[in-house]
Amino acid sequence: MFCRQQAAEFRLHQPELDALGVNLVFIGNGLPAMANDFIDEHHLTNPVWTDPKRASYRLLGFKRGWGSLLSPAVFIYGVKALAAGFRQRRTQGDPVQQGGVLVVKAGGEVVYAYTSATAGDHPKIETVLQQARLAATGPSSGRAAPGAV
Amino acid sequence: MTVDTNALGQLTVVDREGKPIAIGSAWAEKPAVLVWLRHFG
Repeated sequence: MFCRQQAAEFRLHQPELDALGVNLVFIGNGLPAMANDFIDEHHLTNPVWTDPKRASYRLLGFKRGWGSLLSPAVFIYGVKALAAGFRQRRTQGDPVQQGGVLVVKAGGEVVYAYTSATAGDHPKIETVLQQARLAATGPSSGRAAPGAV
Repeated sequence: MTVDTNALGQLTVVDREGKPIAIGSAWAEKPAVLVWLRHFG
């Protein structure tokens, strides 16, 4: 339900990211077939990758465990997501893994990082878009010399 | 949160066809927004 909500939100703003020349990539943790279902269901045109071993989740320190699901905040996020029409479907992947968002300049400099504390804890889409604009307009890491015009 | 994009960029995930792909390819040429989902579904 939360992932569906997040995918729908980003899909809505993909034209802006495309216009900025910013790649939008979703990374999940199920099998490639699950990624395909997800792409078809949400009519996604951006890359959807999967990390079944969750190595990237571990490297980034994303939370994993039932505590990240069973909190009062999750209940409130759930009520909001349900009110917006998003329903939980059969979970495809690790049910107790949390995610996050990175905004990275061309070349690899991170301008924004968000770790979800609980299910349904996502950064505001406006914040991510603002950071994407910065990443797109600022000098690329390792490309422009400091002070270059 | 500090992120080692060198290490992260070298990690390999798979695309929808099951082909391996380095995460760093997302930002090799262009800026990128990467969204780690809890799961698909």
